[in-house]
Amino acid sequence: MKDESGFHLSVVGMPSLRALAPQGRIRFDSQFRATTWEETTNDAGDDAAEHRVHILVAEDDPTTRMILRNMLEKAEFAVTTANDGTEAVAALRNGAFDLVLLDIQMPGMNGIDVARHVRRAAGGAKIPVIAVTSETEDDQVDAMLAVGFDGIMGKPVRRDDLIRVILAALAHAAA
Amino acid sequence: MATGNAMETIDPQILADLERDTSRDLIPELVQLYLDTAAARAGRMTAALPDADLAVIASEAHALKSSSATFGAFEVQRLSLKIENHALEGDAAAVTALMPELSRAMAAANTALRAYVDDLTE
Repeated sequence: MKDESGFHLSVVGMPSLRALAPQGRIRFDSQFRATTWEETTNDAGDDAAEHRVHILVAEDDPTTRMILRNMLEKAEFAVTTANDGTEAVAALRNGAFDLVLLDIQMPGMNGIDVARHVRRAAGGAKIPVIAVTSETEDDQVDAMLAVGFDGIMGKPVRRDDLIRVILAALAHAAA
Repeated sequence: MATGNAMETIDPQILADLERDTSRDLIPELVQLYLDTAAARAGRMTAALPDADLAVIASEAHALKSSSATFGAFEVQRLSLKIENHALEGDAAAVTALMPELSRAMAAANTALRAYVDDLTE
């Protein structure tokens, strides 16, 4: 959705997100930076769980996977994890996800290969895909952008940065 | 808070950030998982040395570098980066020469992280 002041995304039913910002609607400026907050009514009620944003996390390192899951669940996202790229593709075949977080360097099918798979799938062009990576070389970043990543998160991941990037990507997809 | 040489091996601010971003209760489990995973990765790197399987070494060093940064184990991170780069360059001798140093850094990080957890749970 979009209004005169920029893009916004309802986060009703996500109290932890409201803790990051005081009220239930997040507003972004034209660069998708969270800027201001608007009073709104939480009308999610008992149906909140049904409306949770569902995120697929593909990360081969078990420690990082546990950290990402914890951060996302604290923000009340629904989370499915995959231990590598092959598992991620299987999860994508079997489930619907609102956003995909991908480690880049994974054994077998890497994050860029998984992103290509997402983009080729029906409806996959609109699913936000975010890289979570310690790859910082220009050519590697260029490869991520070329395949259509919506965001790139450097490791180690900080929770506020992660949530901000996710919300911006979701807002962009909803616009 | 642990003090002295142990804490000089890790960056306590990184751990404090991690604690704030996850939860205090989760830190002992995360630290144990990191230490176990790091030891396994080092084991696979050592096992790959005789055959100079540099692809395995580069991959494991990359992952060790990344997870060590998460826990503020900056010396392990630094050495893992060097080993990854040497492996990618095909320099098996340089990799081999750095492995004992990596082993010492990992032992020091292990001690420091266990001290940090002990302080948390006291």
